[in-house]
Formats: sequence, C-alpha cells, structure tokens
Amino acid sequence: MPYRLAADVGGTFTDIVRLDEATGACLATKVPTTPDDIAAGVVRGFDEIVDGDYSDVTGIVYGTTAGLNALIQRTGARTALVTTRGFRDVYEIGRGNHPDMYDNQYRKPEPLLRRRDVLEATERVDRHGRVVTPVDHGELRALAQRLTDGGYESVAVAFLHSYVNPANERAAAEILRTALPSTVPVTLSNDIAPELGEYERVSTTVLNAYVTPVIRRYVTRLRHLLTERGFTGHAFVMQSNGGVLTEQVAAAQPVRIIMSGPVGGVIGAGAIGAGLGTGHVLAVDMGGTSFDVSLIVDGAPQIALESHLEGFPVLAPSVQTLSIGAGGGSIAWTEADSMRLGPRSSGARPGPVCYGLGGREPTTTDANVVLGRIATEDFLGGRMPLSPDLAGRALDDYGARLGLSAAEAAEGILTVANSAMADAIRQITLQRGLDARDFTLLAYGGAGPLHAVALAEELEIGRVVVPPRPGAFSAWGMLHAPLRHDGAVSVLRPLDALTAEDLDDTFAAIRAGLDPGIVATLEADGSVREQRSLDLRYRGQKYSVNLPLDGLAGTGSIRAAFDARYRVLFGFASPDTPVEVVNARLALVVKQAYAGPHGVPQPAGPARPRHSIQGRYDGLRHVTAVVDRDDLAADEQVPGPAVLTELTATTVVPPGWRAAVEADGSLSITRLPDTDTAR
Amino acid sequence: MTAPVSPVVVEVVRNAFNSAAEEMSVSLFRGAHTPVIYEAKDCAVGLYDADARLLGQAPGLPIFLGNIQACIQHVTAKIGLDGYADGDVFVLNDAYIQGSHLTDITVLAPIFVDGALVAFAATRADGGHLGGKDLGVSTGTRHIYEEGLRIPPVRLVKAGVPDEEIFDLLSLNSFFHSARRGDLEAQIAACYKGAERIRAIYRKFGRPVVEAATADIFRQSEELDRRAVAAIPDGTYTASGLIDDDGVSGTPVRVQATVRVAGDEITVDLTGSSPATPGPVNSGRVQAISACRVAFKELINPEAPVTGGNFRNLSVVIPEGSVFDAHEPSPVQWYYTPLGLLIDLVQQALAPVLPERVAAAHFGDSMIVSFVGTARDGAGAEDFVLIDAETGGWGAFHDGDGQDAMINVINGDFKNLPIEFVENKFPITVESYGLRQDSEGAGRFRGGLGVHKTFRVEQEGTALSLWLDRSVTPAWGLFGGHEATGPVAIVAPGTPDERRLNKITDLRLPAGRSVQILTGGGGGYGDPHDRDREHVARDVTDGYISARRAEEVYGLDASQAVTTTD
Repeated sequence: MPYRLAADVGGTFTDIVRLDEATGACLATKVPTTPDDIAAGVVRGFDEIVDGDYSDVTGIVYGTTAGLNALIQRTGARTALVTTRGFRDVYEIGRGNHPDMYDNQYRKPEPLLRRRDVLEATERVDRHGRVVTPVDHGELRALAQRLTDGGYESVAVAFLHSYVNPANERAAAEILRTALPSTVPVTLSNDIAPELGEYERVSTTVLNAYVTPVIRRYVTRLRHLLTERGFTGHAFVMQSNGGVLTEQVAAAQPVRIIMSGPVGGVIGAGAIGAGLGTGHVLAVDMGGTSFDVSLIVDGAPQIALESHLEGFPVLAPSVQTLSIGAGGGSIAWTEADSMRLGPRSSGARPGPVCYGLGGREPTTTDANVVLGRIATEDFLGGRMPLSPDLAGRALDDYGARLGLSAAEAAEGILTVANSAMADAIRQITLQRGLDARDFTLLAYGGAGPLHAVALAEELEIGRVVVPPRPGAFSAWGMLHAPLRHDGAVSVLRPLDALTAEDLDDTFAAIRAGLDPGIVATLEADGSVREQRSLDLRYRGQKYSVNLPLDGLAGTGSIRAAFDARYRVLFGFASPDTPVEVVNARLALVVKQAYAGPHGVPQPAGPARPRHSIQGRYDGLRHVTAVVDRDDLAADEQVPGPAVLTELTATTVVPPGWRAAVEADGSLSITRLPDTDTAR
Repeated sequence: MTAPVSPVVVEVVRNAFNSAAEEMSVSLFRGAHTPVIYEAKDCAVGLYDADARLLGQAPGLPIFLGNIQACIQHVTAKIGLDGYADGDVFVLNDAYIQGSHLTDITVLAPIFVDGALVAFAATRADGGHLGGKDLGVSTGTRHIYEEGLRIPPVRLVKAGVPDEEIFDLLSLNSFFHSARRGDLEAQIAACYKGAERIRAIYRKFGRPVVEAATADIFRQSEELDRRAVAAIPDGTYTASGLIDDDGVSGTPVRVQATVRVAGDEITVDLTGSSPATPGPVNSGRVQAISACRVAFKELINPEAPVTGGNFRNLSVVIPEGSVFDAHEPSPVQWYYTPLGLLIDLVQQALAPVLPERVAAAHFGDSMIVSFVGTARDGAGAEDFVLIDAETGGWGAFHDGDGQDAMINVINGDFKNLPIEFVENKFPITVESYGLRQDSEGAGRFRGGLGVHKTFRVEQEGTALSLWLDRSVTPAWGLFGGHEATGPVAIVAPGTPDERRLNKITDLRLPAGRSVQILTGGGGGYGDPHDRDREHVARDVTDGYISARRAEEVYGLDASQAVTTTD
C-alpha cells in the first residue's frame, strides 16, 4: 500500500504521521525532538512508523524549526553584509521605533551580525533603476578576499533600489561567488524580497543568509539518512506561505520556511473544512505556552506579506497567525489583590502543579483538572496520571488570596483565559472586516479542544470541530499542502499604464526565470496550475495589498477588483486615486488531493461511558461522562456534559452542547436545541 | 461605595476594556488615509467612563497620555451631561483645550446604554495641514492664527446624522481635502466601534457590575502607584535645563522641574520655568500635565496598562503665564520641545533615589527636517511636502547602553521614513545615512549614537525648514556619565557656501545643494573609565567610537587598543 509521511518538529516532541493515499487511513506517533541533530530524531520517528521498510513510501513532507531555533538562540552562520557605500548602518538603525510606549530602557533586538561585519561597496542605482555608479570589480575582489580571510560562512548582498534594477547586485554577486569558497552561500536582496523599503529588505536578506548554512546542513543530513534507508523519492519542506517546496529551494531560500511552524495545522483545518463543506474556519491551536489563531476565508488561509520574528521584519509571505501567551501552562498570579493570568508559563518543567514535578503556581491546566474537564487517570493514555489533589491544594491557596473557593478560582481562571482568547479572535476577524459568528471553530493542539466550546459560546459560534488526533494535526495537515514554487518581480508602474499584454509578458518573464529543474519536478507530480497575483496600492501609500488575479485580465477589471478588496479590508476605497502595481507574483501550484475520510475503524454499537467524574460548569456540579474517543461509532452522539479522551488531547463537551462523529472521523460539536446557554 | 464584585469579573472586564480600545485602534488604522496615522501611529485611542476617567487605551503616541480626558471634561463642562444625545460625535482641535498643536484632531462620542450616558469613546490623530500658513511645518509662527484653523467643540454628527457642511468646512481648509475627510470618518468609525464594544460589555454584565468592576480596576491602579511612590525616599529633587530658543526670539527657554515626594504622594512643580514665549514652543496646561504623567509612567509600573485610577497621587504645579500655560494667542506648533526636555529632567531629578529606573537624557526632540517645493516631471508639476523626523541616541541606564538611532522617546512606535520611499516620492536624493561616530555621551554604559544623513535637492528653489533643538542642553549623563554631542545641520558642507544651522524657515536651495543633518546622542551612565574594557575595544572595532576617543575619554591604554576594520 503506498503511503506518505510527514514530520512536524516541535520544541519537545516531533509528531510523525503516515497517511495511506488510497484510503485516507493514518497512523501517528510522537518521538522526542533531538535538538543537536534534528534529522536523526525525525528519521527515528519515520523508522518507527514504517517499521524500517521504506519501500511503500511515495513521498515525505517535513517542517523544521531549525532555522527559527538558530535565530532565537543566535547560533546561525557567521554572516557578512555587503551594501551600498554610505548606507552601512541601515540594518542596525532599523526604523527607530519602540513598541513599548513607556519603556525608557528599551533595547533593540540583538542584531544577527555586528557593524564590523558590514562592508560597503561603491555603487549606486537611482529610483528609476538607472545605474548611476556601476560596481567596481577590483574593489569587490578585494572585498571577497576580506570576507574569505574573515572566515565568513554566509554573505548577504543588499543594494539600494535593487528591487527595480538588480544589475549591480547581480554583478557583485557574480564576482563574490567566483572569489569566495564554494561553501559560502551568497544571498541577494532582489532574489529574496524584491520590494521597496531598504530596512525590511536588508533584514530579510540577512536573516536568509544567517540561517542558510543551518538549513542546508539539516536538509542534506536528512536526505543522507533517508538514502541510507533506501528512500529515494521526493521529500518536500513546509513553507511559511502554506505550500511545500523542494529541498533545493528550501536550502537556498530558508527564509521561506522559517515561519512554517503553525502552518501545517492551518492547511489541515482548510482541508477538513472543505471536506465538511464549510469555507470559513477559525483554526485554533492551543498548546502549553501559547494560543494561536488563524483564519481560513472561503477555503483560503490568510496570507501576510510581511511579518516580524524576534523583533525583525521579514518580507516573506506567510500564513497569518495571531499568537497570545495563553496556554495550558499559563500561570495565575495576583497583583493589588486582583486576579492575573499569564503570560508567564510553567513550561514543560516543572509544568502545571498537577504534574507533580514541583510546580507550585496554579495554571490553566490545574483549573481544568479541578473542574473535572480532564480525566486525570487517562492523561496521555494513562501514561502520566495527573494529581487532582495537588491541583486542588494550589487552587485552594490561590482562591484564599482572592476570597474564592478553589472551584470558583478555577472557573475564574478559565473565564479569564477564554475571554482573552475570544478577544484575540475578535481582533483578527475585525482586521479582515469579518464577523466571527460566520465561522466554524476548528480546535487542535493538546489544549485546543479543552477550551473550544467555551470559546465558541463566548463568540456566539454555533459549531466546533475537533479533528482526529488533534495533538498530531499539524503533521497531518502538511500532507495536504500543495506543492508550490514562487517567483516575483518588482513592477512599480501605474496600473493604467499597463496593457493586458504587458502583464502577460511580465508573468511569462517570471515563469521563465524559475528554476527549470524545480518546474520539472512539479510537472512530474501532477497538473500544474499557475496562480498570478499583483501587489497593488493607491498612489502615495507604502503598504500594498495582494490581489489574486484568478482569471482577471484587463486592467479595468483588475482595478475594480482591487477597489472592492480594499473596501473589505479597510472599510473604504478611493476609486479616483491612481493605482500602482508594486510587484507581480506567480506561483506554480500542484494541489494535493484531500485524502478523504481518515477516521479510525469504527466499532459496532454505541460506546458506553467507562466512568464518570464530578464536573463543574457555571458554578453547578454536573456528573460528567468520560468517553474514550476511539470507542465512538460513526454517527454516534454524545450529549454534554462529557469529556472525550484520547492519547494526546481531551475534548470538553459542556452542558447544552452535544458531540457527533462525522464521516471523516472529526467530532462536530453543536448547541443542543431548545437550550438557553446564555449566561 | 459600590457593591462587591467577583475578582474574576473584574479581570475579565479589565481585559475587555483594553481589547475594546485595541479594536478601536484597528478600526482607525483600517480607515485612516494619512500614512502618519496608520503607519507612524501619530494618534491616540481611548475609552472613558462618564466622568472622563480612562477605562482602556491602545498603544499610540505616549505624549497624548491623559489629555483626551481633559477634552471630554471641557465639552461636558460646556454642555452638561444632559447636553449629549445618543449618536452625537464632537470634533475639536483648539490648542488651549487639548494642549497640543492644531493638526491634532480630537474626535469624541458619548456612549449610551438603555438611554443613559455611561461612557465616552475618543480618538486623536494628526492629519497634517489644516488651514496653517505653511504646507509643511511652520517654524516661525508668532500667534496661533498662523498655525491653522481653530476648532472649538463642534457636533460633527448630530444624533447619528453627519453634518455635511462641517465636513466640507474642514476638508476645504486642508491641503489634503479627501484625506482629511477620510481621516475624520475613520476616527468616527473607531468611536462607534468602541461604543459597540462597551455596550456589549454592559449588556453582558449589567451596569452595576461593570461600574463596580471599574471602581475596583481603578483601585488596583491607584494601589500599585501609591505603593511604588511610597518606596521612593521622601524629599525634594530638582533639575533644570534649556531649550535652544523659541524659534522667533533667539533666547533660550528654561524648563525647571522640582519633584517632591511625601509618603505615597508625588508632586511635579514647574515653577522656575520660562514665561510664555513669543515663538511656538508653548503648550496648553493639559499637555504639560500629560508630559508629567509620561515621566511618572516611565518610572512607576511602566508595563501596567493605564487606567483612570493612575496618577491620583501625582500633582502637577504649573505656574500661571508660563511656557506650559499657553493662552490665546500664543503659538504652540512645537509644544513638545520643552515637554521632551521636561520628561528627561524629571528622570534626572529622581536619579539619586531611583538609580535603576531612570535613564540618562536622550537626544531629546523630534529633529524635524522639512523640504517643500514643486516637483516638475516632464509635462506635470506637483507640490510636495516632505516632513522627516530624524533619529538620535537614547540615554544609558544602570545595566545597559542607550540605544543608537531611535525616534524621540515621546513618539513611541513612530517609524522613520525609508530612504527608498523618500527618493521615490520626492525630488530628493539621500547621499548617505549612518551612525554618527563619537556623538554618544561616554559612560560606564554609553549613550546611544546620533545619525548623519545627507540630502541633496534636485529641484531649484526647494525650501528647507529645520527644527533641531537641544543643542544648548544636549543629552546629559548620570552618575559620572558624560553629556552627548548635540544636533546641527550643515548646508552645502565642504563648500564656500557652508552654513551651520539648527532652526530655519523656508531657506530656498538651489538645485544640487546638499544638506547634512547631524543628530545628537544620548547621555552616558557612570564613569567612562569604569566601562568594561572589552566593550570599549569592541566599540572601536565596530567604529562607534574612534580609537582616539577610546584613549582620551574612556582611558583605554594603547596596549588594549584594537585596529579598526574600516
């Protein structure tokens, strides 16, 4: 039976999923992440799930946090920046802003290279793209010698206005590549981020250069280990923009994969939503330390053209995620005799009090335990029973400081946590001009399904979906990401100065500039669809909006579509203001087929609660059924209050709601009719 | 006394107020037409109770902290709480009400729940030119009427019905007609969004609970403030300094701050500061109070969200007729220049008792460079206005160097303009831009560096205006730290026409003329001889300071010296 594999590398654990392409059946496992040699941990997981036999594996998709870790820990390559003479400090100066309003002791993010690592080259291109001063070959050769002598492992080149004419950057790169050791990659700003705005472009280029050697090592090592095991098929890497790309592109442009951490889950959420016939999905991922929410609108994840990582701007399209510091490990504390929750987290060690590993401060997880929302004996399939007594005592103490009982304090913690998450969701939907009530909430991650229904209540959302294996959902989602290869060029011309033929020529030029080897890979894998889009803005603005062309050809219809899109995003349009085309983008996409139902085999007959626990909802005690999710039959319904347990997650069905098993194995939780759940 | 309310509800309501303000802010950025609002965040957004006490605010310009409150109080004093109708929206900008300059537009709306006025939503945003004599910045104004159109509180929307005639009046007076209207609409939409969220909070919890929770939220803030001030030793602490001049008369303007701490109460007394000036550096009383609140907030619980319970233990004494008590017709365009100095001075005054909280002075002002002219490109000609706020060095503190090249402290998340943006939008070339070596105040922890930036104008007759203050009192150091170098502009550097300037209005430049801007650094903290020798050597290697300065000022001996790479 042919199948594909996916690996989602997290900070503590790596999730491995194996998907049978024909039936959609899948297996999942969890192995410890091996930070010193991440590839080894990934392959260990693969070995386990294929039982050492790779002969039926047709493809592999993996994500990696290696680039992000190198950035956070500042363990990336020793990197130099070559830039326009007279502008050495653009990278260090940044934009001069300070996000914390009253912080008089602000510190900028620690730069990835020092001022001594920035070398100036005599050259200049003006705003029209005219080469005012060509590069000086002799000077660049001398500069290459300095880079070699300096022991630099990676080089970034970023010149002013290279987004409009990259000639000087390319000329410089050619000289450097010839003169530098072949192991030293050279990253050009116009290849990585051909966009106006020198600081953001140079920041993105430096980041790419900084992580390139790390990612290259990881990709090469993983390929080596796979080859040793006889796997010679394609391996793809998850990108930040929701597609997967080949190992070669990932190794050359790692900035495209650096924010891919949360992306697998969002793609999975879109796939499940499509299978259930719903296009608007709120993908909610809650783990130990954070709560991440992303929007899927009409089946498409929302993409941001610019984001921030560790305080640095990154110009690489990425699935937009709003993250707040609210997870299972968020610690409750007091200030001025008042309640506060998070953002400090107990982490994996010592973890919540109920883990019994020495944690003393109550967390959100402890509150869930005290309220009977987690079946403590079944946690992690019974491998790690939790202590309700320890949690209860911690909450007794905490409540006493506020004049509350342990149960009141616990419900209070959940109320505060859920309100903060609901506020975050309201903000992210409002930013897009949308209403949360029009969405289905899809929850995953270890703690997502615990809080999902309470969140839906808060937001007046009618339906919650919990996919099978919510703890390994991101890895499963990766297997549904399209293959994707992107190119872009800077245009910077008024829209009405362009004809449909000009645009066709532009896109043809982008396509012609794509790596033919990668294009061939895509074409071998299926039917390639070409997606064209333009970054547009009203004249005078800096920020642009990406408009997918989807069949739009004439500039008149593009103009009208842009005004309409702008109105949705910003509440107004300016039909009389000229529109500029900033960038043209082209993506070659090969869609993955949705693998269809992927539930576990269904036993006959309705499951019976194995036991019940004492739960508490809205101040009232409820006898709560504890049901093993694997025991549920297709179409079976479970009325709340109930707790559905499985290996890596717990789903809470509060009173007034009921859970039903969908054909694809997902749980669909809806409000019971005739019940007023309003508080 | 209000009824007791669960601490859970209090915390949920507290978060909800701030989240509601965030939603207002999102709504404002979405709708605003003027880049300085949606990109540079030159704005403020807040929700207030019926007594104009702050419920929640979103990040914006720190310097507006607390003075929108005064605008609401002013309108209420004028028309009474009974004078508001559901759906009303007021606009105002008068400098003597809101305290700041006339391009800042305040929009506020009452919020009604079940027929009762329970709260206000308000925004302030700077939309640029509105009726002033100059399209760019005015530097030489002598009375308010040169600076723009004064708007007293006016009902822009009456019970839900926009007054088109007032919209037209305001749009017509702006160089940017349609953007002015768009910005106003965005400010109104933001107020409505705030009102919607407040009504939802009231519906969910009921008015008595929300009001009890609000009282407790204020109690928390007050308690934290009082606890922090009580920890400061009682005493009187003073500092004073000078701004260069008022832009008209050429004489320095004195700012004096005397801080008195007694128990858990603190007073900032500005007695000793200069009288109101003929030139535009006066600020309205409420804006001076805001600046004292910013100074307070930087030292007292800076990370906690601001509420109506804050600053209850802060008194501000402003001498009548002083530069901080502007009255008609005093000009106010550069109201913030003395205020930036004031904020630094409060830190200097309290440094002996809060050595770990304070920072040495920063470069101190917004360092505005403006070019106005007509761009001629082939057939067409178009007027342009470039207003660029340059960065400078921040002050060092007890365990860290001041940061290099930052925007003015009072401007928060405001960002500089990209060079590529400037060159694309204006007939101006930037020849070079970088850190200004040796401009820092030396210290055990050094101040941040200022920058150098050289512009070259392409169009004949482009008019240069400059406002580069803080050269008379550059950023000072603390605890033995040295003062930094101040700012200056050099027109036509290295030519026989070279001129050094700090302030100028409408200097006409010939095509091809260069203007170099040098901004100041931040002050140092502690004796430079105590600076970690490795850090001194590192600063030389990286070219932040010269080898000579390392030797002469930091006392790095030759054996420790390192050759620079560039």
